[in-house]
Parts: sequence; C-alpha cells; structure tokens
Amino acid sequence: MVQIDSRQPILEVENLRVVFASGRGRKRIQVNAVDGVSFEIYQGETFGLVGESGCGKTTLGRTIVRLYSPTSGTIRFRGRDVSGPMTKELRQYITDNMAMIFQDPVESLNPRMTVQEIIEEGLKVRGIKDPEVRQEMVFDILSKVGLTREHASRFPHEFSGGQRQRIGIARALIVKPSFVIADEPVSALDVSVQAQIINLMNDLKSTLGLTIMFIAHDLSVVKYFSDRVGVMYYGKLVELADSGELYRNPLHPYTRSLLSAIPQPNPLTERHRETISYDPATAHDYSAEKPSLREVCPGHFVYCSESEFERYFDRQQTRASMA
Amino acid sequence: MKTGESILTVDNLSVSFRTYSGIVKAVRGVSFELNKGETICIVGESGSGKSVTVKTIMGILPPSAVIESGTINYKGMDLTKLTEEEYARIRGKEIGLIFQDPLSSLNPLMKIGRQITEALLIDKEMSKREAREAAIELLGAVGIRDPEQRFEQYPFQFSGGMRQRVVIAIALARNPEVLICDEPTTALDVTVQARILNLINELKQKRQLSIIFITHDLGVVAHMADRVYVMYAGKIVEYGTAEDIFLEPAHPYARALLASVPDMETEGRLASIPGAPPNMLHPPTGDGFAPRNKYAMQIDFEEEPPMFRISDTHYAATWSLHPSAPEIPMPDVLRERIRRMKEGGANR
Repeated sequence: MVQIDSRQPILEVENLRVVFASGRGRKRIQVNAVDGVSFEIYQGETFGLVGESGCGKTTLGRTIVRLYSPTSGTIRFRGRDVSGPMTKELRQYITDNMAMIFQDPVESLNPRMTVQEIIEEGLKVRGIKDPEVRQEMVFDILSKVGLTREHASRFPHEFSGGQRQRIGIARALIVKPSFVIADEPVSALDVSVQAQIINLMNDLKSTLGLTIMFIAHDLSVVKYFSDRVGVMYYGKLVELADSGELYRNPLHPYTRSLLSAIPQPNPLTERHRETISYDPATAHDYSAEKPSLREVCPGHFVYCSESEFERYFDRQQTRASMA
Repeated sequence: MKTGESILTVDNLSVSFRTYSGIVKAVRGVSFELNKGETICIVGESGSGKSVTVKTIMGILPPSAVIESGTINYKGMDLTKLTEEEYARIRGKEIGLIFQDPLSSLNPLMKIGRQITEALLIDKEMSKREAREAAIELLGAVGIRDPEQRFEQYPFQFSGGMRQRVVIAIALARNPEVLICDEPTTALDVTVQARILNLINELKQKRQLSIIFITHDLGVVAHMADRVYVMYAGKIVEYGTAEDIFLEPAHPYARALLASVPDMETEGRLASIPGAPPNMLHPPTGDGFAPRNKYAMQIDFEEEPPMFRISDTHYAATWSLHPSAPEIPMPDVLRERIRRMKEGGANR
C-alpha cells in the first residue's frame, strides 16, 4: 500500500469556477457548473467525488485535465499552475502526468482501431517511434490489467463490458501518469463485473503508486473505494471529510439526504427506511450570513454559515463526548 | 408457495432470437407466478433474459424473436396464443408497463397532457373533456404539482424524475391490475429514485396493483420485493421471499452476487465474480454459472440441476443442494453481513 502523505498535496484546486454561457444580450444564459470549489488531493490517496447528475462533478474532473478551461480560480499540480492559458508545453505537461478513465467503455474506444492501436496512441504522441518497443509496452500493460497479448490485435467489439473497461484503464496508464481521474468507471458495468474492476484499480493504485480522483454517484462504491470524499451540490462542494467520518457523521443536510436515499441490500431494514428530503430554500437562511466552506473538526469541512457552523460544531462535540 | 391468489403464471417459457450469427437462446424454460397484490422482483444482469421475459408477457417482442415453448396464463387466457387485436385489449388495460428511460418513452413533440389522454381515449368510453379531467387527476396522483399547467407542457420541460412520474401516470391511465416496471429508476439519481420507489409502493396500496419489478440493483430489490426471482443465463436459478434470498441465499450465483456488492460496512478486498456472463449464442450445458463458480462439481458442467426445495417458499436450482453434495461454505463477507442483518445493526 502506498503511504498517503497528507503534507504533500499533489493537486490543489482553489476557488475554481467554470461557467458555461450561451446566447448574448438579454438572451444570455449563464450556468455556473463549478462554483467556487477548493480542495486538495494528497499524494497516494483516492479522493471520491459524489453528487447527482448536473452537480458539476464531471465538469470539475474535465477542467482539471484541461478538457475545459476554468473561468477563474487556480489548479496547481505538484505546485505548478496548470490553469493558465493553454500552450503546447502545458498540454504536454498535463498529459504526461494526468490521465482519464471514462464511464462508457463502448463509446470511449474507437471501433475501427485494434486494442494495440488504441493503447499505443499515447506512446506515439510521446515520440516513441520504434514499433517493437511500443508493442512490448502494450503487452506489458495488458498483462497488468488482466488481459493477454493475444487481445492486442482484436477490435473493441470483441470484448465484454468489463474487458473494455480494462482496455480503457490500460490506455490511461500506458503513459505512466501519477494522477488518474476515473469518471464513473464502473457505473456502466454489470454488478458482478464492477467488483473485478474496482479490485483491479485498487491493485494498480498500489503497484504503480497512483493518486486517484474517483467520480461516481454510487455512494456505497465511493465509500468503499475512497480515502476522502467530497460531496457536490449545484456546483458547490458542500461537505468534505474522511470517508468513514462522512458516512458516520454527515453534517450538511444535503449529504444526510443523499445518504438516507441509498437503498441497502437488507430487506429487514430497507422496507422501513425513511428518506430525508433536502430543499435548499428551507434548509438554510443565507440572507444575513454568507456561507463558506468551514472546518468543523480536523479534516471535516462543511459549507455553512456562521450560525450553522456553531450548530454543527456543537453536534460534533456532543458526539465526541459520547464516544 | 401457494400463498394468495395467482394472477399471472408463466410456465416453462423459452424465447429465442434469430440473428446473423445464429440462434440466441435468451430465455430458457422460465416459470414464475405473480400473486394478487404482491411485488415480485426479477434480478439479473444484462443478458440474463429478464427484459425479454417481460417483453414476452407484454407481447412486444421484435420480429426476430420466437417463442419456442411455454405458456403465460393471465385470467384463464394464454397470452402467447393471442392475436394482435386481442393483445390490444390486454396491453395497457390489464397489464401496464413502465420502461427504464423516461425520455425515450415519451413523445418529445406531443404535450404531456395529450400523451395521457391518448391512453384514456383508446377505449372510447370517455369524452375528450372527461379524459382531460381524468388526466389532470392522474398527474396529481403521481405527485406532479400544478397538474393543470403541466398538462400543457412538453417533455423537455420536465426533469428526469418528473418525466418518470408522467410515464407512470400513462401506465396507470387505463387502470391496469398488473404493473410491470422494467428498471424504472436506473436512469435516475438516488434521491429521485427513493421518491419514485415510494410513489410506486403508494400507488400499489391504493390501486391494489400486482407488480413485476425488474432490476439489477440489490438495494432496490430489498426495498420493493415481497418475493424475488434470480435469473442467470436465461434461467431462474433461485426464488423465495426477500428474506429467503437475502438471508439464506443458496445458489452460488445468488451468493456471489450478494457478496460482490459493497455496502456501507465493506472493507478489505471485494469478493468479485471471475469471468463474464455466458454468450447465449452458445448457451452453457448444466448449471450456467459453473464456469465462474470455484466450488463447481463435475455434474454442474454436465447436467442441468433441477429446482430443489429448501422451504415452502424457497427453491434453488443448484446441485449443491443435492443430499449427497458436499457442504459449500457461504462466502465470508456474506456470512458476516447476514449475521449483522440478523442482529439488526446493519447499515445504521
């Protein structure tokens, strides 16, 4: 297991905003997809990001690898600002260090390319000209993701969903990135195959020393896979804590509502489960006080106003004294 | 097993598809029973044949499909023998259907209201005005606020959860007795899913519905099911009450499936199932799950297991239940989880 070094952030995101706009003049519509998000990801950890569709979690991931450009705010990778204007050199730096695994293993692989061609594309871009070297590297990564060298000459349609996702992982890892963003990597897979892919990602993480940002909506999987979890709601990071702490002691009403909605495979409790609903209009009064992300106890951040902070802090204290 | 009055009985149903690469045996001898007022869940992965089974019940199989054998008995009628005209009187009126994707099951060019009244006017028992009133009432019943205004809107003006409510309203418009839900919440967010599941349960109580619920999410099964049927490779491999399946799973596939899903307490390595589901172009002989089962015996590969009786409500098709089979241990993760469930402390 790679040691998580909490003093050494590999990625620092500060006050990041991504705004999509359409139309002009009076017809202008502006969507704050990511709205002032700040967090750090430490060397060697798995950082989970959860939220419902449209909350901005995918936009956030794509902005970090600069598929989108930030409207404002900074992203630093190993101390270097990667949020500035895109240059050839910056693109090279980002692709050398970060890779992405996508959700849909069917859509994200070119059906006209063989597995060999799909995986080695990243090597070609990096100027590895000798085809034999490339081939060896492809064989090597295929065996790491649980496929064989015979698979290299086949086309994506010859593979099952789980195997395709393995190809997607191989393509991401062939360039030896240190930081991987996995955007819903298992949600398109069958239940019995999900566990295989999660185990594989865990193995690769420790053998290759990866840091992973894991974006998902399945909270049980996120809880299992992540060291720390951030919860997003409408472009804002509303809560951030160690995964155990977050699930034991959720403070923000949205997190509580989200956790209460997960169906558990237990018919005895599940039939009587009460779900908590969350309505931001009635849950908070931000007319007088401005909310911000505050640390309620070490490592546990909640987006709240001053008076909410005091309430959460008291609840936290009572919990701690009872334990 | 004979609790309550059976409303729909499927007996030894087999369905195949003719494709360019050969014959795909999607459903291979499926039998089950839906009793009045109960919810049964059919659980299985993609390709297990669960959706084909319900499409057969609804009579909406594509032309490439052939019903090889079996009967579907509904109120003394064999649905597999009906003509298209006779089916039109069953579909929607007796048996309603909710699909997975609420966007593609609505017509984007037609106002929501007309899509509901369309269903109401089929029977020609209502005037347009009455249909409009009934549709507005239905919209209210499925929890849509301001139904009169919403009546005049188009599907794109509705969120995913609201669209699924509209689809439910359409399915219920002709007051069916049986409701088939094919993964109705898979495309929805968890908080929305929770609301839709509660709505379905509420409507079931109010309208005395009998429900066939198809899903691959075991959490949803636990929430909805009175009884559960587990499908694998076109066959039902185990069935019983929800408690039977979750607390005493017997078939190796049911056990492996339950063990592979992480819950809030899961730590350590996930108990993944090796391999992939079989290709139904070449259906497996014997127990379909045998190639992925580390405890598989010789006979599992050779001969198909019969349904063994475990209790009055609980049956499973696995040779491991044969009196002379060796004892097969429950996976550790699962044994631990079941212990926690029984203590009542599981999952908060």
